[in-house]
Amino acid sequence: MNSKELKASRVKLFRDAANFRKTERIPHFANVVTWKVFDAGHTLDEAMTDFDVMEKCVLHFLDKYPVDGILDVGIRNQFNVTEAFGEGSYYYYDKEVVGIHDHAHCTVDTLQEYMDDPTKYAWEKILPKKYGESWEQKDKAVWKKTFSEYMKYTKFILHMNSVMGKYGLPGLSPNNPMKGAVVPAVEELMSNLLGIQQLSVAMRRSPDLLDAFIQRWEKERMEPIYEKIRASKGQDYKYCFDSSILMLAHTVMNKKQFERFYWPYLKKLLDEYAAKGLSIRIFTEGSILRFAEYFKDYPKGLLTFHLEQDDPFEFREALPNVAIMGGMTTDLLSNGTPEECVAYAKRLCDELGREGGFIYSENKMLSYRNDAKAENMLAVSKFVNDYRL
Amino acid sequence: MIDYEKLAEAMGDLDEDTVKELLQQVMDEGGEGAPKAMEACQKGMDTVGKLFEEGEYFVGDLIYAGELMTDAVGILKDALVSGESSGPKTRMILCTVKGDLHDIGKNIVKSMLEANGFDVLDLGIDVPPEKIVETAKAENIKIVALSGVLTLALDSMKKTVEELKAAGLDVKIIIGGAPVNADSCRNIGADEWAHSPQKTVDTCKRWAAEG
Amino acid sequence: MKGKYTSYPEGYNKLVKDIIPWYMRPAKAMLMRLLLTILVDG
Repeated sequence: MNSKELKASRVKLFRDAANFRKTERIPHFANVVTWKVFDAGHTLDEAMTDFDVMEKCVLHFLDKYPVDGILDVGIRNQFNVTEAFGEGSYYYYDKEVVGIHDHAHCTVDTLQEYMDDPTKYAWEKILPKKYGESWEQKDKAVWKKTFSEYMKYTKFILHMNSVMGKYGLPGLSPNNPMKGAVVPAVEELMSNLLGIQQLSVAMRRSPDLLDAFIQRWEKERMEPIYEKIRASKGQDYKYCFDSSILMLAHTVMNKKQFERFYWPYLKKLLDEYAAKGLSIRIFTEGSILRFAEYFKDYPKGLLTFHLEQDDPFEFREALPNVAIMGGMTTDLLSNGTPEECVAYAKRLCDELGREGGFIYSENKMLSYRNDAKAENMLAVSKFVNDYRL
Repeated sequence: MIDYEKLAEAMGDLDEDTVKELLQQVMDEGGEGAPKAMEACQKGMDTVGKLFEEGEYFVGDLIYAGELMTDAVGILKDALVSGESSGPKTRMILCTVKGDLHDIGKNIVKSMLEANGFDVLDLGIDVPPEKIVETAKAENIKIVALSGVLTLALDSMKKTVEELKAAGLDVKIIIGGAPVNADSCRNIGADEWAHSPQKTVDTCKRWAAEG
Repeated sequence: MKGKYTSYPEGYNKLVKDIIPWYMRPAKAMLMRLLLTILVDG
C-alpha cells in the first residue's frame, strides 16, 4: 500500500468507527503533544524554538509507535514569532514545562467594541496592554523579523503536513484558522475574551450583556459557518471528521447557565451538521456526563466525544448513540505496567468497539515527561495496531 | 438592625444586590453588627458549598461566590476586629505546586477555608517544595493543601510530600485538582485528596479539631 | 513619542505595506489575520 492508499484506508477506519460500523481493528489517534519531545531525548526549550529538532521528535514518534493519526506535529511552535516581537507572550516554557498564562482581552463592557472591529480593538487595546511601553517602539526591523519568523512557521506547518502525507496519516478535521475554525461564542469568551474568572462573574452579574454578545457572535461568526455546512456535499473523506470542536466552557457552568448561554447555540450547530449527515468530533474537557441528556437524541454517526475525565464505560451506558474517542488514562500509562496497560486497552476495544463506535486515544494531551512511560506507550500502540476484533 | 438570616440566605442564593445592601446597612448603622454579619456570610458560603455538592451550583458559581465574599469583607473590614469574635484561627498553607500556574481552584478553596475560620497562608502559584517546607517550619503549620491542574503537578506534589516528611514535619497534607484521585493520593503519599472544595474544607476542619 | 505603526487604520495599513512583500499582497488580509492571532493570543 502506498502512503495515499494507507491514508485513505485510515480515514475509512476512523469514519467507520465514528459511524458505528464494524471494523477489523480499532484505530488509534495519538493524543500526543510535547511528550514526544522527551521521548526523543530532547527538552522542551530545544524543540519549541528549533523546527529541525521538533521535526526530529515527530519522526522519532511516528517511526517508533504504530498509530493511525497524531494530534500535533509541532505546529504549536509559534514561540519564535512571539519572541521576535518581544517580551509579553502569554506562553512560558523551560526544559520541562510549557503552559499559557490565563488572559482576557476584554471586559464584559468592551465585548461589543471588540465585535465592531476586532482588528482595531487588537491594535488599540489588546496589543498596547500586552506589550506595554515597547508597543510604541516596535519599528520596521522588529516587524520584519516577526513576519519572517511567521513565514518560517507557516512553511514548517506546510512541510509537516507533507510529512504526515508521506506517513499516510490523515488530518483530524478541516478545522484550521485559515478555513474558519468552529468556535462557539462561550468558548471564545472562556479562552480569550473574558477568561474563566470574568465569564463566571458575568454569567451572574451581566447575563444580558453576555446574551447580546453571543447573539451577535451567532449572527456574524456562526451564520457563515452554517452556510458552509449547508453547502457541503456530505462527509469529506480527506479527513477523519468533518469538524472538530473544543468544549471547555461547560466546565464552569451550572445547568441553568448551560441552558441559557451554551446549549441553544451548540444545538443549532449540531442540528446543521446532523442535517447534512456529517460526522464531528468534540473534545470534551473535564466531564460532559452532567449534560448527557442533551445529546441523547442525535443519530449514531454524528457525534464522537473525545473524553477527558469521564469513564468511557459509564459514558457508553449513558449515551450509546455517541462514539467514544479516548479511554486510556495517563494514570495507567505513567504508573502501570505494560501488561496492565494492554489488558485495559483490550477491555476498551472489546467492550466499546466490537460494533464500531470506539477510537482508541489517550484521555489527556500527553504533554509532560511523566505522562506516560515509553514501554507502556509502545506496548499499547502495538497491541491496538495488531489486535483483530 | 439587619435580619442576619436574610443575609445568610442571600449569600447562599448568591444574591449580590441584597447581600451588599444589607452589609451597607450594617456599616450605616455604625458597624457594630459587622462580626455577626460576617458569620452570616460564612453561613451563606456553607450553603454555597452544599449546593455545589448537590450539583445545583457549579465551578462558575464558586468563583462568583469567592468574589462576593471578598467584596463583603471589603465592605465590613473597617468594622471587623480580626480574630476577636471568632476565636483563635488554625493557620494553614495553601498553594499551587511547582510548574503549575493555575489558581482558580486554589482561590475558590481559599475563600471557603477563610469563610470557615481558617487563617490561610496562600503561597501563590508555581511554588517549589523548599518554599513550602521553609514556611511550614517557620510558621509551625500543621495542615498543608496542595493544588494543581496539570498532570505534572502530581510529580511536584510527590516531591513536596517527600520533602515535608524528610524535614521531619508533622503535617497533614491534602491534595486537590483535576488530576488527583485515590490512586495518585496513595502514590504521592498525601493524607487526603479532594475534587470538591467542600471536601477540602470538611477535611481541614476535622484535622483542626483533632489538633 | 507615538509609534510609527500604532495608529489605526493609518499605522496598520502602513505596516502592511512595509512588511508584506508585493507578491503576497493579494493574501494580505489572511496573512495579517493569522499573524495578529499569534501575537494577540500567543
